[in-house]
Amino acid sequence: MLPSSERLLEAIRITLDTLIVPDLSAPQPIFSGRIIGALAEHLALRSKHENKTLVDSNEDMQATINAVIGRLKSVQVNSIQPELLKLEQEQIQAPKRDIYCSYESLTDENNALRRISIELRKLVEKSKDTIGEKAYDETRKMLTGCSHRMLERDYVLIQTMEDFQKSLYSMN
Amino acid sequence: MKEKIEAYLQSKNPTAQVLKATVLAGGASGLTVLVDLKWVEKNKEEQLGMVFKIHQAAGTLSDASDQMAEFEILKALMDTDIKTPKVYWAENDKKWLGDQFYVMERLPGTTSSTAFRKDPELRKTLARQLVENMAKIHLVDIKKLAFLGIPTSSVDCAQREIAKWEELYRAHSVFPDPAFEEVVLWLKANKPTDVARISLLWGDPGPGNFMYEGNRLTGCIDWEMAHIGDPMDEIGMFLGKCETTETLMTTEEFYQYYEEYSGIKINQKSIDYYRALWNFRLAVITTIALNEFVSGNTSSVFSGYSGALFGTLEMRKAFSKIQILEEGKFYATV
Repeated sequence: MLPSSERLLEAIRITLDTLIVPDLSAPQPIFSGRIIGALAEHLALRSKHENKTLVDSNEDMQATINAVIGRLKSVQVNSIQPELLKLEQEQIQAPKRDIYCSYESLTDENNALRRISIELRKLVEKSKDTIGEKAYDETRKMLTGCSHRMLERDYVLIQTMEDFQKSLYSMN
Repeated sequence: MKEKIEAYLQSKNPTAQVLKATVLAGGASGLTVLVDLKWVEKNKEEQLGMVFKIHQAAGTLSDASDQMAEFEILKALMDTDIKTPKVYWAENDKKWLGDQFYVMERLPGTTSSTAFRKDPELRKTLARQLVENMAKIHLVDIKKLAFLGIPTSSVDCAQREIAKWEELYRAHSVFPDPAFEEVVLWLKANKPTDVARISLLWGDPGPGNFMYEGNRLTGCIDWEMAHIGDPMDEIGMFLGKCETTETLMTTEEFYQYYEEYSGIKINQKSIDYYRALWNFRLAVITTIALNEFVSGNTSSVFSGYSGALFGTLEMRKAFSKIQILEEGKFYATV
């Protein structure tokens, strides 16, 4: 999850006005100017890919949550049923993206699904001994696998900044 | 800033005159100001360089670092032959510069990798000196550094660090992060149990945090994450840092020099663990930056940049390391 583009653009404007323009030759404005360059590349990537990334991650989380709940139900352990039911309800009531797939609605949906994933993971951990090793391993790996795929999707949006970061150390 | 620093210095020596004050870029825990000054000492005018490290409430690491502790560590190390800057004064009184700060000598040289990147011989010479200093740090008598908190057992070395950084994360988290929760669970379940020696750790070793002039290392700087713990933690940090900065030496060279200078045996399993812990720490630092940024406490583009970049990057690295350590069983790949 990344800070919003609006907030980053606002910071760029403030930095240009208060730090860079008043003194173009000092180390801090030069450094900030380079950071702004890297952020501009990042924002260009986000304008192209971010909504699609969020749609994919949200669908992935929905599917993973359903699969994990289904697997946990299949072990028929009574003690976890109330919590499973509660999480199912939360999933139903969670904010959904609007028909325009606006950034705000996608991030609201994303945050709600992240919260449910975390609660589900806590339940899996807490029930380790009662659900059995096989169900524990499978559900844990499903949730971790989903987190991994989300990290890989987000990585596409920050890759240019990683390259820039490596070059920062040789600039100083 | 120049006038305020001059007023402070004049409280120490009424003849002090600041010639130049330069704010350094990119500091994570506060402002670093390089100061050129002159004053009369024992009837003789002298010019010297000092560094002011000023805490800032809205700094990325401000909640994770204790500048007064950093000052005390550097003060304690002045009695050793470890290359560190000499410290002069620490001030808690905010009347001078608006926040607490300490003052140290300005070491000669640079932190830039430009020179040694082009010169393999220089790189090797500096690498050896760096490892020698790291080894000496790990052999320091920790009794006089008890204010940092001393782990009570081998497992407590990692436990204390996880607890400290997890608490910071919980206090600053701005969005729910399942990846972070997964890494915390794994770190807690796999703490190293075999710690050869409990040592002072520099806390942020490696390229960018040591100064050199010519072929001589002049000082180890940036002690804000120093703590007492497992030396393998430091080695994990060092190798982790070299991933994103500069490779000073091969891992094999590092291990050879380190064992030679410290007499402490390398524990690869622990190092692999601490490399993931290093990614976890960086992700927490990012969380603090992100919180400061999205809540409007700072409009620093560096905080925005850090917040956008490092959370995902460090968690991705931690996942990849843990997947290797767990022989492909950490996350499902389909």
